[in-house]
Amino acid sequence: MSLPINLFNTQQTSRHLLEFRAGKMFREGNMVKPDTRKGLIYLNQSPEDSLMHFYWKDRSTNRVEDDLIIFPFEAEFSKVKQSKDRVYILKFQSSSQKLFFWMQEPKADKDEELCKKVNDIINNVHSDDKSDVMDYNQELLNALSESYQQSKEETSEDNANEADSSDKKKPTTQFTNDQLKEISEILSNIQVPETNDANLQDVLTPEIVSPLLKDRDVCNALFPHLPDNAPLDSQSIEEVLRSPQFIHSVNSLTYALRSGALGPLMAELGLDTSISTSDGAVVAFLRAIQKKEDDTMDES
Amino acid sequence: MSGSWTTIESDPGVFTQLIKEMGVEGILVEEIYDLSEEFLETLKPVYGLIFLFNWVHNDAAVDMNAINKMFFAKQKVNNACATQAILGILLNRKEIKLGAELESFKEITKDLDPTMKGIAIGENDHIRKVHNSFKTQEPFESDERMATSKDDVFHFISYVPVNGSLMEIDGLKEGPVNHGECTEENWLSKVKPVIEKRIAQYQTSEIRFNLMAVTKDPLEGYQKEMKEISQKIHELEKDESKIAELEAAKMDKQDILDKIHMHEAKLNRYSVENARRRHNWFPLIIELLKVLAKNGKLEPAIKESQEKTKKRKEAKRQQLAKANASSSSSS
Repeated sequence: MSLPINLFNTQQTSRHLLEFRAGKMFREGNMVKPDTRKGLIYLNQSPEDSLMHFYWKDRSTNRVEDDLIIFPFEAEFSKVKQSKDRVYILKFQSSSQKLFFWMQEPKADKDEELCKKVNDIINNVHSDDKSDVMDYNQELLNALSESYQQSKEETSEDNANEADSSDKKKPTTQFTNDQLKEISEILSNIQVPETNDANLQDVLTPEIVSPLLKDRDVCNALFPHLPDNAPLDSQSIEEVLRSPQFIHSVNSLTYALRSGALGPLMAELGLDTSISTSDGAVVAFLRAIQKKEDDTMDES
Repeated sequence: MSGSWTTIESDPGVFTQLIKEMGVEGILVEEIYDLSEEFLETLKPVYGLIFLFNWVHNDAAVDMNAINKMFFAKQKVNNACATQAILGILLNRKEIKLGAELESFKEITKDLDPTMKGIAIGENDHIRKVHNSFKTQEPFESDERMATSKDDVFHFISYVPVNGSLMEIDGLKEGPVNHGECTEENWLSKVKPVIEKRIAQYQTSEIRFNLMAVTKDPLEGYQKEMKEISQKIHELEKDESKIAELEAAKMDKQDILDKIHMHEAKLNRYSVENARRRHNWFPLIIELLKVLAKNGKLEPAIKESQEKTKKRKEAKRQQLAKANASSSSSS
């Protein structure tokens, strides 16, 4: 890891669950008008609060202007049918907040798919199939090579003073207040029970683990799982718990459990898969581990 | 054709190890925290610099005449830029002992054009294997190191003096960028304004740059100094009249010893961190959770974490409500 000194500070780049080019729109009376700047919508689960965030940033200045937390089923992203242009709205159930966007992807054929993906991510829709996680990584790889190609093409276009043709088509859409009211009423009737899942980073802290390291048996159980060249003492385990590489891995596991790996992982570890998941995937996973340990101790 | 290439973390320990595993000995990569002359002086001899930045298009003119007299390869494989930057330095520095693998690679590719050289990198099993040895091990890995956004494509390039000119080697360009004449002695002071200018093109909010120096591993030099000073001390000890000189020599010896110890500590840190990067943490995580479960610590920790999640959500909700209130009052 590099130290944050002077000019040279490397941050690890983070990937986005989904991203696409879109501009913002603003309301002027009953009119919704396009903000002509080139923008990017992206969604990410923040490693800090493990909540889903919806971001909009200005592509030319790279400044993030909107950062919204979205809870499952709390918001919906949809096409504005009243407009024949590629206009989309993000509506919140918990408030009257509405954000309008216009698509800036060069082609319109992916709009519908992107819209569905936004909602799937917001609502945490996933299947329990392990292969999903794999496909997902493959998708990311494809996305990387694609976006990279695009970035090259786009810059060369910019050079020739040819702006992206889709950026030029600026839509204008009109809403009546009644229509807006109707939408928000429908949304306010949807209710979803809230879960407060745990995350593994909170559980595997030096504060929680260290007191147990005084027990020689505990250390002996952990030593075989340390990296090859790590010294075999309790201090070494504590260092590992603080290392960015371990923490990164812990967060990846939290993320994987919540995105479909819970079932396959429990099966692999021989855990009781009948455990309730109503408190969240990580809580279910941890309780299943607890249950297995309790059962083992009863037997002996 | 060439399989997939993993992204590489911009870290001196990672690059030192990559170079070593390519078969090249006596190289140490160091991070550059500031571009002051004094600091750069401490790193000498420096073979080349590796610069990481958030990629944006730039149209600096390339020197197509130079490509026949040096190693320049276009990047033909996704994510290979770290290796391209390393090879750009190693293969253009005659004083570096390349080892059998790279020596033969250099020989085989010497008459190829930049595109074919790039393809040759992609098809070289040895190079790809070394590059991919830093791939993370977990089966559930969601690689957060990977840049997926076109706005955040990070790219490595290198700066290296070749045939009396300061060359910028960027595999995304058609050829190297020639930054003017330089000598072995002054090239670091010539490269300083080039990098500063490059950084100045970005907004002040952009801090994601990283600069590393590919240097001659100083250990050999330290060992030589150590031998000399030990010899000197041995001589001085025979002559009682030179007691002051002896004391001075003993202090010099201690200085060299300190340097050797610091060097050892650095290599040790690199190797510990690299082992962590390559380690599969999953078994340790599961064992830790079992230990917590056995000792009755798991359930309280779950409750505490859930409580924290709730508080975080609440805080965000309030933040959101505040934002809504201010946005609705303005519309």
